[in-house]
Amino acid sequence: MSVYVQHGYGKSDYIESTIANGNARGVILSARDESPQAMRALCDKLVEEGGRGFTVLLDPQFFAFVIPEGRIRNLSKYRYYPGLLSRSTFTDPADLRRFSTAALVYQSRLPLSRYVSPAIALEGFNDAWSQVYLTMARESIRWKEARSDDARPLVLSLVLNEAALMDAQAVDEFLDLITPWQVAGFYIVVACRQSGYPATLEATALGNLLYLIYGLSILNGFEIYCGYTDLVGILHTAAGAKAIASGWYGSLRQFAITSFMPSLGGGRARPRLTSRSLLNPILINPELTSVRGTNLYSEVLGDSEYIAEMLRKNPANVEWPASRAFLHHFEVLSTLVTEIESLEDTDDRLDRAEAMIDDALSTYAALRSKGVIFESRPANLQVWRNGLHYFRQRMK
Amino acid sequence: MPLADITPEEIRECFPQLTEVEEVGSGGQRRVFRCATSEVPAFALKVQLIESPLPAQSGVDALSEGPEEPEQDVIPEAIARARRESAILAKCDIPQLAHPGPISLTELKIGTQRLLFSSEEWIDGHTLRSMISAKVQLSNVESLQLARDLTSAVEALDKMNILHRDIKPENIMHRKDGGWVLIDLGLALERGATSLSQPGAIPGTTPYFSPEQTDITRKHSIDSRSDMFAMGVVIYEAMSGIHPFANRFMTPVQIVTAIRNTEPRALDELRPDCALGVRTIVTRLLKKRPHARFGNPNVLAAAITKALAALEET
Repeated sequence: MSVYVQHGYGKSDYIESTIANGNARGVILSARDESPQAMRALCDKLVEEGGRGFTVLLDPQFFAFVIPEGRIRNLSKYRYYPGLLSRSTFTDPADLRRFSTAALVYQSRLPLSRYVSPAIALEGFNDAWSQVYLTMARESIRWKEARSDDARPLVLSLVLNEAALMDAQAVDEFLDLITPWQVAGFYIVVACRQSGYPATLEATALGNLLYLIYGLSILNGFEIYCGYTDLVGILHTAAGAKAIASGWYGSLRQFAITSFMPSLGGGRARPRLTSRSLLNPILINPELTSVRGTNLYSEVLGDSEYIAEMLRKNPANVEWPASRAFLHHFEVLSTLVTEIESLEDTDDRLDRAEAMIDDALSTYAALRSKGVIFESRPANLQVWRNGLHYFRQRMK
Repeated sequence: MPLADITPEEIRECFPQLTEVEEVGSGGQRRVFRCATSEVPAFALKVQLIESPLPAQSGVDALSEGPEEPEQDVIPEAIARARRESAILAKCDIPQLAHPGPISLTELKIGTQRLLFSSEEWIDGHTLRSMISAKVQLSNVESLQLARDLTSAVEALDKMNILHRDIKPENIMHRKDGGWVLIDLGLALERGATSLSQPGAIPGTTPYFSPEQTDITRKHSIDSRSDMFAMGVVIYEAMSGIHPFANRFMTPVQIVTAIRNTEPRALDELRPDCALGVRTIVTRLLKKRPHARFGNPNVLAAAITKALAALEET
């Protein structure tokens, strides 16, 4: 079971709780959400509490430097962070070397499991900035190669806009380019074009992302860590990801550059429960309460001690704090991923993931026939299915 | 450029230390002689015509044995390639690559011809091409042994950052006492080094090009995975007797199109006894995109070892 906690704002004791209940095998720390002093203490604590085999990574979130008045919180307190720069001033190879090195030197002082390189966000694999990305990646590799006595492996960040994944040929060419690199793996983050939660990539982009994961992991043996991932992570896992990471807020389950932009405000998120059988977080009210009137209620609810009270009472009357919702969500995600990971063969894993999607679509259809209306439509499942089919064609 | 016009007697005059000179054939643009000295019982002497006829004003016999190096931009491509080949052979000490012979790279003027002489180990055996022509089809184990030996050669070159770029049955010898040797490093290229080819030209042999080799815009990004593709073609051909993309009626353009776009027939359709391990390796070697092949020769070597072990178990 390889689900990591995606750390972020408002961590409370969520990480410790997932470690305690055995559902988290690692954590990806967000630099902007801890001061350097607090980060040091947090790393020490997590390494101790996580124990042997628990992975602690730090996302340097370097890409945020181009966002004017960005919500960078603590990032400016890190010495490696360059502050606001325009991309046009960010092309001098000496600067790229300096920034790459500084972020890794900082990480060398923390008890992290892997180095994670700093990176810019890529809008496309062939845009002008891809050269900056490649230069920074190569500088990170060079820095690591010079530290032959340092056993800690290097993972390269790959922060992508969804648009970059619409072009299959560009993905192929990028894979051709990066697969000879001597690194342990890649930390992949994809900014979704859709807003709101839950959002999904377009089927083509999802299929190409799965192929990217597969090409790097199964075909070339790299470790792939997928950040800001939600239930779609069952597909990432089936395609070969070593770990997926998910957090307590919707913004930690799907990545958006807008989360680094000045806040436009927004209401409090409505309570949701993650349904294993529907592969979706559904609204407690009115969705789950509507399901309660059907014979599919226990199936949708699933089996977990977190929801024991809901089996007995109307969910609208059950206290469902964000902390419990997160722990339940994480448990469901871990269970699903474990089920996929229990299969060795990639085709078997993909078949299993597809069966999960089909089962969920059937359950949605059955509920619809019983008059249950979902505000958050299950359209994402059909997109996942299409993305999966597209990926399987690409695999051939 | 035509072949050199030289007799064994003329070669003896040029190299008095030779005790035997016997013409055995030609390879590419070179004539090949089996020679011997009192110390080396057999080696191959290759003679290549560099310039013919020589400009009338030239009057020296030995053109490049002196201490002065010609300017880089006036060194004929053939000389530069031969130098590169000699340097690589001198560095590689594995049985899957030929060892250098006793005659070091020498340029001589004979009559109106300017000739280049080089020597390497004499390999007693046959080329894979001659075996394919004789309808010899390799077994599963033999195919994997061929793959293993070629991989060792490609791996040794890759460690020096060198690509062979011309892996084909004509350049693969089977030693009589067993084992395969990859020969003719004339087109070998150090990655990142200046190509010796004419601008716009693609070095290699068309039916053994990898898809990326056929794309002139990608010539700077090819790596050992390109050699692996050619290995896939060779092994496919050695097992089935049929080239996966080309036939003798196709034009070079048609062959390139097929290499880029056509999926070959499944090897087990042509050889029903083809083992799964062999098929899996060949299929992967023949993938159109480099990232879908094996990441590097080490990974390929591991896959071959595993497939051989599986065959031994059955």
